[in-house]
Amino acid sequence: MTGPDRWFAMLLRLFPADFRERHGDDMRETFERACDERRAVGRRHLAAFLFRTILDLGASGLRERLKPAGRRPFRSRRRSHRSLLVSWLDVKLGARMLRKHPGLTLVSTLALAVGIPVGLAPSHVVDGLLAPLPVPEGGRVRALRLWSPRGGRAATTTSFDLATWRPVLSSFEELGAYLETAYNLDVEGGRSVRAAAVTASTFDILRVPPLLGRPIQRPDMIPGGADVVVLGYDLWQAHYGGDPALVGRSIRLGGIPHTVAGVMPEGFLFPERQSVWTPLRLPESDAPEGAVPVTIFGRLAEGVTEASAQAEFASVAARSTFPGRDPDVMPQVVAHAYGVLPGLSGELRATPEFLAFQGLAIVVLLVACANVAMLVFARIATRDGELAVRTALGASRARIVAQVFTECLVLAVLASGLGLALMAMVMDVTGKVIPSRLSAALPYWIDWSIGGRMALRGLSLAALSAVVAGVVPALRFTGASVQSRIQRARARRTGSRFGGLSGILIVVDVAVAVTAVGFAATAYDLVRNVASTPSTAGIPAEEYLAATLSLPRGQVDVGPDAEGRAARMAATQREIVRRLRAEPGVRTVAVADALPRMEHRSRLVEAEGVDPPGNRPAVSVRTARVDVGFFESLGQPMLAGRGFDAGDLQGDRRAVIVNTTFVERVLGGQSAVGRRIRFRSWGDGEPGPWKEIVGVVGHLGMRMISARNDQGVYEPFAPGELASVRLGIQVGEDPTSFAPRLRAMASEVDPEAVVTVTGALDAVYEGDWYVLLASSVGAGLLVGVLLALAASGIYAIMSFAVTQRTQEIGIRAALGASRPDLVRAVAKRAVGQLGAGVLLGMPLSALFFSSGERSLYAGALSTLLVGAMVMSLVGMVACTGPTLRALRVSPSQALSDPT
Amino acid sequence: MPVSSDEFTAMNARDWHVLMALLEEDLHGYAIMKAVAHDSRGKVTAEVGSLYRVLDRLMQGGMVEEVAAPDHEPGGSPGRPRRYFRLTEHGRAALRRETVRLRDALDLARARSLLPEPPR
Repeated sequence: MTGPDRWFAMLLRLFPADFRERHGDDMRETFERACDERRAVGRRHLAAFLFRTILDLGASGLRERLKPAGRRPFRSRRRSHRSLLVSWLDVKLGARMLRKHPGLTLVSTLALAVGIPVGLAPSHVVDGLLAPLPVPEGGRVRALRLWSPRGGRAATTTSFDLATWRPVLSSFEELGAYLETAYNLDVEGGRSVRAAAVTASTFDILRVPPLLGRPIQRPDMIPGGADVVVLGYDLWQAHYGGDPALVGRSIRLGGIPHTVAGVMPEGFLFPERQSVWTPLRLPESDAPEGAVPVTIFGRLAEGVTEASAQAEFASVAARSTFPGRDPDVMPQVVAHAYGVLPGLSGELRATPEFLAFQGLAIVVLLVACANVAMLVFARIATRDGELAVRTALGASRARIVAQVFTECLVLAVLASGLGLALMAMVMDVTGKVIPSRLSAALPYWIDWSIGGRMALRGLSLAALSAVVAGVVPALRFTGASVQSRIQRARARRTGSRFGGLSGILIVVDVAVAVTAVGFAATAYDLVRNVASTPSTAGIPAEEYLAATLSLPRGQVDVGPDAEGRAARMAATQREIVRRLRAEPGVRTVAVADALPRMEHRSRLVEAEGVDPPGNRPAVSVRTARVDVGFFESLGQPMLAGRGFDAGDLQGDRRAVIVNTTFVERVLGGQSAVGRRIRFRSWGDGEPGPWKEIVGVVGHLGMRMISARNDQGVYEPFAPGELASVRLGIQVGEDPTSFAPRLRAMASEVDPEAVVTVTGALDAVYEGDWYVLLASSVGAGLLVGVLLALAASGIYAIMSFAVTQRTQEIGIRAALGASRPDLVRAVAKRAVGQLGAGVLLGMPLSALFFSSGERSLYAGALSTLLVGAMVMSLVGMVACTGPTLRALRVSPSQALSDPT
Repeated sequence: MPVSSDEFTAMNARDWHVLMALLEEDLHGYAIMKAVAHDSRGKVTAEVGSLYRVLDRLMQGGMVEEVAAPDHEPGGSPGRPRRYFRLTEHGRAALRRETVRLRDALDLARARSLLPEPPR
């Protein structure tokens, strides 16, 4: 049998047995002949034919099954109008069934209450991210960007682009631009605030009038004009007590006096989460050279669709390119989120990552549905007699299927509501649990609240679930003839059996639960471990204050004077570090683009004379750029070679230092000093120049999780080369108390220098940690549901085994079988499935863990064993009830049952 | 259960084409499938599942009957002769009735200038 023949035979099973009996062979033969002929024409014809046949067989099979019994072959005028299959009575009956079987209701509801939100989550996350700005007709405010497929992110747009596009783009009412920056605000204790330098048109585009005073206006944008500022509501309340007289007064921003022009209403935090707006001052020259990098956006003109705006923008942007710009950039008119997050590729919903995520979520939902279907099947089987009688009284098959569907729909709608409530609660709790620093960093327009749209989607998924969990088992169950069902009902036994599918389902449930128990326990261990680690790789992290130092962009530095800016940053950094070192109480200061325990940048590296594993051209490493005295400041000795010195900043910059993990993993433990490495880009670009390893240090933690497992490379940098640097200041106990002194010191050195205090180094939580936290909570939830599902599945199977075999058990007991024999006979299948699940789950999760990082998952094996034991215990408990019932069967009762 | 042809209110295009395919000769399933696609210039298709549902229905309605393969035809799977289908008298009457209905509809459409008169 060829592949197509096999699945044809499988699909043929969608037709009722009597139909297959009449036409099955003939259909198969016709299909084979058609296949042969298409195959001779070409593969494409064959593929198209197969595709059409699959759809056709699916639809025809189901229609044939749903055809009411005894229906006349053609529609007749005399046909009655009983087409309303689902009635209110069914709904009431469904609700009554839920009450009658509380255990089954509880487990099924729980399964769907988790499955449905999981199914909804991916599109909900994307919807929230791409939500329109909370301004009048916010959906018409769009970002204009140039996507660079080669770079994998949006290319920089500049004031030159704004000047070029603005006069010619007729699809937009108006264009605006902004530049994100930060300032030090001169208030008690000092504070850095997120700010945006914006064009005056911004406020027209957003159509949000100020609460007090006026917005930024065109005259404010003229270079050399008076410095004005518009404040956000929260800032105005928190630092100026909501004083209306503040408008017109002067405040110090970045050390420079600014007149407060206005205050924006509450909730206005455009473009991301800013609370200060200053005028964007653009260079007078229209040349592309020296233009200011800005994000461009606009409001679609009345009656213009996004597609036509996109078409116009594409032609305009193509005409306004210039030498030096990547010629392959793609002009895009996109949601505001894409403008703020330039790394986000367009059409988020079409990306393979999203589709994979969504697919996985639907699979989880279907697994939950399949479990519920099994339970529903079990429940219908107990109503065999009732359904047979209803059929005999004239209920059509479709009518009965509709009734079971309605019952499941009641359950699914209930579960959907519960699931959404659960989701809202989880979000609420998450919002409170995660540090305010992270929630404060979320863009302001993101809206993950659960509204009407979400409820509608929940309802459609509930309907889908009811189809899978109700219609499929009902169809299967009602397949048998009325007569045989009535006979079975008279014999007080069920003739229905669980198919092989239910067995497989239980094995899978158990296997996944075993894996999930192991994963949840390990993840929980890791979270606890990370949260309670007092120091990082021998560095007393709790004694360090972590802070970021930068200069504001935009107003202070508009124009081509990048060199001047670097020189100023260099001077500021040098002076602040010098003063810090002289400060009593400060022991050392380390300067880098990332401090230990923080997320370090990933790059690809190629080592000379070393074949990386798996024949890839390069290996991924974590990297940092550090100042010359970085390792000394952290008290880290050189384990081989030398540290960086001032000479390494001269000439062609070839010196790098690697960590011990790099030596072990990339160089295979060989001597590192003197060897050469080079960086490669993620794409096909040319590799960078060769660099020489001059020293080796220990592992300092280049990400939060698995600090010991990151192969790392350090490069030196000179002050002024980084626009923003991280300072690690060792001050001893309670490092955060040093923050006001640091701010004061910075503003003495350069009034505009922005110091953002992150906190004590040991309290830095980034990236991976949140992922870990979320996955351990998620896995914990999943474990609970899977355990309940597996247990209820086992219970259902056992119960039915006992019911079906009442007579057999009675006869065995009468013939003198011992109780252990009877238990063995009854529980064999369930125990077999339980064992198969555990055996399958253990190597699966072992595989899963070994692909992770071994040393940190050392506890995995023991947690896995715990998982297997928990699962076995739950399974055994589920077996107990039915087994006891089997033992209570008396031989005389069993034998007196009519057959 | 034969259906009286009066009871026949609307025959769908697929039914009509299947009956039409059987008008002049007995055919097996695959030949009907090809004839339907050919006669309707690809506008009506009868994939395997749909085709046999239609045939099943037409047989139950007494419009089509099953006959043995002609002698020159080698037959289908071993041990089982290929099934041929034949239009019954009842089927022929139903087909004629439906076709007359279509002709009347065509005449009306021409009379009201929805469609042009055929070239003479």
